[in-house]
Amino acid sequence: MNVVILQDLVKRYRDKTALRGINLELQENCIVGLIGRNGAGKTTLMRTLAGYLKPTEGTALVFGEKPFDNIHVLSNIMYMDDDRFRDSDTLRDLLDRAALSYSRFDKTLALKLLEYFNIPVKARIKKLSRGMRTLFSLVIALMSRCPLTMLDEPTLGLDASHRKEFASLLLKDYANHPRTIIISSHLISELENLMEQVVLIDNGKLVFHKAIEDVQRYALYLAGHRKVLEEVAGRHQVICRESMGERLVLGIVNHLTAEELRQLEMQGIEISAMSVQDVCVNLTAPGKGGVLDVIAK
Amino acid sequence: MLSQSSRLRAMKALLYGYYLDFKSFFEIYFSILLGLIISKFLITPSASSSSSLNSALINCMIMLPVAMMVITSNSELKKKFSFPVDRDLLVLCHILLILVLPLVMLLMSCFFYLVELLLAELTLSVTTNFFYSLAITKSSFLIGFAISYMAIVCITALTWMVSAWFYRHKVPVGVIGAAFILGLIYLDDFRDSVFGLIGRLFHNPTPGLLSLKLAVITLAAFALGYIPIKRMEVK
Repeated sequence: MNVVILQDLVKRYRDKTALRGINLELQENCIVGLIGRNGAGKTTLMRTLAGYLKPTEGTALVFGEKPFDNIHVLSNIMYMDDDRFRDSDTLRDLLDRAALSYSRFDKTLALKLLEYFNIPVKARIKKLSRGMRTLFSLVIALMSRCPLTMLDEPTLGLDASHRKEFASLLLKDYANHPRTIIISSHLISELENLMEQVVLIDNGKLVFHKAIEDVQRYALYLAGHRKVLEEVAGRHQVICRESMGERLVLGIVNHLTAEELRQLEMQGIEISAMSVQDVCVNLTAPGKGGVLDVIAK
Repeated sequence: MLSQSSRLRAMKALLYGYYLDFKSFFEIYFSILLGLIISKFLITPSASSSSSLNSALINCMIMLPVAMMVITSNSELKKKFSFPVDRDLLVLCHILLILVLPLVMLLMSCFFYLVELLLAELTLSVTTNFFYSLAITKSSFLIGFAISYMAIVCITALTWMVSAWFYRHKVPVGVIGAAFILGLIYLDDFRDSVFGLIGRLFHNPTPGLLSLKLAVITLAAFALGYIPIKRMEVK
């Protein structure tokens, strides 16, 4: 069953088009990484799914219904962003509200987790550090056990150990209570092990929606002598290129056969898989050189 | 059925949220009334039986419109959508607040009226240097309570309606509102013409007719305030 169906989804603000005809289907019970540069439209997409925004054109369906102003759909959606609670709210009150709002909310486990993270429930939001706020929001988001849970930058302000614990918590809870989880984050390498699918958007458009294994196999780095690699570049789709004298590093879409790979290795070309993060970065590169080019000019 | 239970849950959570929000609001109101009544007996050697009611009325007229401007502000609306809620529920809760808050505030002021009476009787029994006028009868109190309640509800509903329409433009509306109030205070001609207009609208009414007019205006404000909230996006 598809939890999310987007058909030609367009969202325009007064002076900006944030989403430009997105078509996407997300199945139930999977962890999806929503990847894109700043301003690519990730938050607008999630806010549209959360019923905050109304599509300008096209259709957004969640559980087969339009989410905007639809309490049945909204009761089954959790959207977590960094500006969710008021500074004067106490954590205990927010936990009570969450328990009232979500039928599946596990308050007992939420309290245990807050105790584990040393977050006092009597405290007000304004008394918490950046990382503690994020942890609290994550506890609320995960313990709500909503069939569609959306986490917008869930690791914002978390230190390395808390990021690791968040990943463990998410995986364990997901295993016990499978649901569709959409994670938008810039820390792709850290969350790579969590994601089952990747949705890459750039400038409001869908670049691809693939299984994580396909993205991990999507592209290769070839490094070696310029003469050999220029010939390869003519036959394959190049997504990045970096030269250092006679040495060239190419990033190409991986359509190479086993025979071609063997021949390249014999010619002294170093071959390595392109990381998911590099695939996403290279496919959404602005096409106007890097920041070093700006300095050089 | 599922939808009904979701709505009920959302309603409970939203009302609980507003209950938490307005706890401190009532604490402030209580403190103001208490402060006024204590200062009255400490400073002046006289009291009128309606002084606590008057000060309560003025407090209501100031605090409730401010509260309406706050609950319809963009940031507050955004926070309310942190938990599942639809716009119909939000408006319903706002209407409940507009109806319940003035009632609670008036009941609190009536409590203070009784406290004031008691203090006045006590003061009279221990000193002769004290003047107290008792001008309120039971029937005038009941009619006054009902009309005051409806007038406060009406003004609160009008403020809510205006705030709902201009929820993303609070500063210019606040400036215009402040200029209007200053005009009422300092410009005699302006004040006369505004009061003349209000006087024509409520010309020579019986309590029943006045209540009816206030109720119609309140309902119209509810209906007009619903429109912008229903189509509002949470940004």
